[in-house]
Amino acid sequence: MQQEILSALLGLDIGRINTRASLFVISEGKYRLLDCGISPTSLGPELHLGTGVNAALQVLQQKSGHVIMKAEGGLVMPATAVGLGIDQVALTTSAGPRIRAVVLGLSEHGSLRAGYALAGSMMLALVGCFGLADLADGSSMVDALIRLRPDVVLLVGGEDAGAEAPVRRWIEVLRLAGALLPIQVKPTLIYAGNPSLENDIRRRLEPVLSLHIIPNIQPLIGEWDLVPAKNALEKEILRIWEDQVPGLVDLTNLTQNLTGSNGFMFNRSTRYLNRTFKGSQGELNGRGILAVDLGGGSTTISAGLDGQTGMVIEDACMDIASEQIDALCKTVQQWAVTPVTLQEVRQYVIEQALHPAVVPETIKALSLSQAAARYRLQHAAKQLSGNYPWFTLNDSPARAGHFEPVIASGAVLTQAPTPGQAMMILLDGLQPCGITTMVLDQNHLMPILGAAGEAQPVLPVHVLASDAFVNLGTVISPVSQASAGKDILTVQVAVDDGKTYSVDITQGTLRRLVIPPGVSAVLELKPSRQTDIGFNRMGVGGSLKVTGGLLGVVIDARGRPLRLPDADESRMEQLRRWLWALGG
Amino acid sequence: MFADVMRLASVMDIQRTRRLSVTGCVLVSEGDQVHPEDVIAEAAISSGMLVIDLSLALSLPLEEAEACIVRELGDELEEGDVVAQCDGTISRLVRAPADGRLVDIREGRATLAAGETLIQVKAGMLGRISEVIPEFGAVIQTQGSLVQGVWGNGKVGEGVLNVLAGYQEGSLEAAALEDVENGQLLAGGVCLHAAVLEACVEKGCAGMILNRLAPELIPLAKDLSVPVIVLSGFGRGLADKRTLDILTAGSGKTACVNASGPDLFTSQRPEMIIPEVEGEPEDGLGFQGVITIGQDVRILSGEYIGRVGTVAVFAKSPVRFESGLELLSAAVQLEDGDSVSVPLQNLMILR
Repeated sequence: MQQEILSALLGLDIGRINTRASLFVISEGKYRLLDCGISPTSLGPELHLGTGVNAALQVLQQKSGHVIMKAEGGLVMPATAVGLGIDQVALTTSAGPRIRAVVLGLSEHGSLRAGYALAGSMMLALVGCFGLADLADGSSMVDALIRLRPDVVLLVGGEDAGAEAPVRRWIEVLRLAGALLPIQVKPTLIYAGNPSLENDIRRRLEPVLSLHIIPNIQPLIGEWDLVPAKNALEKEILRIWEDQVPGLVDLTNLTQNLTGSNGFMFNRSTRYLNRTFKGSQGELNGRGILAVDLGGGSTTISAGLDGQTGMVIEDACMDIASEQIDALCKTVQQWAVTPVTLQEVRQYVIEQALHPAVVPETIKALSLSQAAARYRLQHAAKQLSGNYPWFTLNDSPARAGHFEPVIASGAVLTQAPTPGQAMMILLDGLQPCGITTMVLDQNHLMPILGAAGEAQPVLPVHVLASDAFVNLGTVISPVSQASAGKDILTVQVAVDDGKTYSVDITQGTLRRLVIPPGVSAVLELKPSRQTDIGFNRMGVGGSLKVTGGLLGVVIDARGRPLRLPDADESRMEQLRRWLWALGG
Repeated sequence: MFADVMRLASVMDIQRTRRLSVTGCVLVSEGDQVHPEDVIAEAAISSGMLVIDLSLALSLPLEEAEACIVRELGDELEEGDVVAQCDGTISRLVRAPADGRLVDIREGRATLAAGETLIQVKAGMLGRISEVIPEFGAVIQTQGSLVQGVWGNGKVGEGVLNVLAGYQEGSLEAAALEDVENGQLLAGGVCLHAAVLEACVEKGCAGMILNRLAPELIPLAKDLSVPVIVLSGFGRGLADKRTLDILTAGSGKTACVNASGPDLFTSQRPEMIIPEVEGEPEDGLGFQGVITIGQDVRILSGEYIGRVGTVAVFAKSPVRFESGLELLSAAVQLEDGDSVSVPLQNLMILR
């Protein structure tokens, strides 16, 4: 069935801190972002989410001149003329709390690992993860489920036509727990295990629990299929949020099923764009896409590679009473470009956890917020790598997945005072290898594109190709065994205007090649024998066509993993020098 | 511009709903006076599962063993009660190993719930029950002074309020607690030493209300047996006069502390209430409110972190701060008369 072409689509993105309204219209046959409005999110029992949405819409209407709201309230729908009304609304949100979840499975390296990775990719608080060993004492497991009172239980285990007996024992544990738990706190069970047990599950558990049976999360050993489970969990999360977040149900009623949690839609965008890029540049095998969001409430990292996608959503701030906070503070202190005591870092981290909307006023606060952003990226990337073995960023470029572009959002990046600061956060946080392009999603469009793409699949492609996203620059990160100060790469630059020059890159340096935004250039890359730049193996170079971003081309030859001097003064001096190399 | 609201009132009508997540038994009646530790409602969920393998105990096949059960599902049993009996030349009995309820019989096994998980909601404040919510809980009401904080250790308590000397000056020393009395609720300025928290417990105090706390003392404060709430934030900073005035007015009176929260989704903040204060009640706001001119605010960042003032005027265009960020901001008149420019996002409404 041919899709109806919508002329104006309104995207509402309700985050924990900010609510954004984005208007997409068709111009010259292509979707483009007309404008965005932003307002603080109105969240809490005595508030309605619609208050923040209205404020964001007022801003959008004023900025764009497009009439969206009726004078008496409500949206002008459908669009009846250019600049008047909208045809559809898409909504994404991360305003709700994490949902308490328990994963029940069998082997630690099989189904449980898949369940754990899945839980880490959703807005879930994993309060328990139990496997075969825990089944030895089924009675204790019944007690544990009663004590934990999860909202959702994910039961996984047994490949297709695989193990049945242990899963049956889990069924008995759940049957008893389900029968004993009062109706108000009975969890929803999502079964994503051996399909041959579906009838048993229905017969035994349907009378005591709300049940969803979905395809096996691990149909074969080592092969994961997380998408159906993600879809089921997403529905459950939204159902609970609609009960808990005042105003959400009114807003979702404005959409025609174009509603989703922020992380889910963020991941959908990644998957969709990965398919699109692969389709357009099919000659590049192993080409992936990476998207990161440093939001006020959470850190999200999502990667797609060769048809696989993975995501991790972590809280932006740690529990302030956590014992791990010291380790966090030490890392943040390491990356601060201004002198800060551990005490000051601790105070910053805690105050930020209590008041996540607070913005840095002083240079010291800015330095701390950017250092904390590096930590968040490093931690999330490490977690993603732990959950999905195919994901690795800072291994050798020849072995690592080739993630291009890297799409980044979050106020600490998009509102950084200079593009160089945003680039440094991304380089230090992700420490990519090989060649990639850093793109800033200044209006936090990735989630809404995931939702809007459901109605109009071409919309995300058109918008990504437009100026709604900012090209920060191409990054070349050679990995070399050469010692510091040795030449590892020669770059011959031929800019479209006819200007040519050559640059020798030495190990341990960070260098910027100025290629103005939008201007094309061809780079001839000649690595030394000990250097890998991502052209399949060490010493192999090649030609690369680039379009200049805000920072042109950045060559990050500082080595992987990055090593910082131990002494405070030298370390800060080093960090400042790197920042200056990118224009400060 | 929305901002978080911290309630700080000399007199206001205070209502708090205490509600179970499951149906249970309400233990209070309308008009009852309650104390923070009083249980308002409770529910019990069977737990402590004991599995009795009847097949093994009776040395019978599964089906035959099940046929020997002499009890019904849901039966309450006492330790030693017969669960199953097999008649024959020599009668064999299986007895309940503990008191409990028979919750499952399947495949030759009987499961006894020998314990219960108790879910309770406590009053968390001093007040009067104004409404009973049948099977779930109650609404508690009082008119009093209210001081909310940014962090609490989750405990509740009550005591006679004692505002320690030097609330606004420097950091609190353990010596300041020398003369405090057992059961008092202490209000202090900036706590930077573990010895202060330890002394509070040693002296048998009912809890602590601190303007600020050293960040590294959070784990210790969290584990303390008495409630601790932090009003303004962590690390060094100045105490505000408005809070001090409310605390001083309540000194010597019985106050209560509920150190739970903050929780955006329940609107719960850690708070201290001095009940039964007379006067014209002030209006309250929700968890968030709109910043307006003339409003009292607390500054959450920068050089003036923790200071309290009044919004004097909004900047017409974004202001460039030292960080290089250009932000919507307001001029805030501090208690000492100075005026400072603060990003709107870095303000918390006090009401």
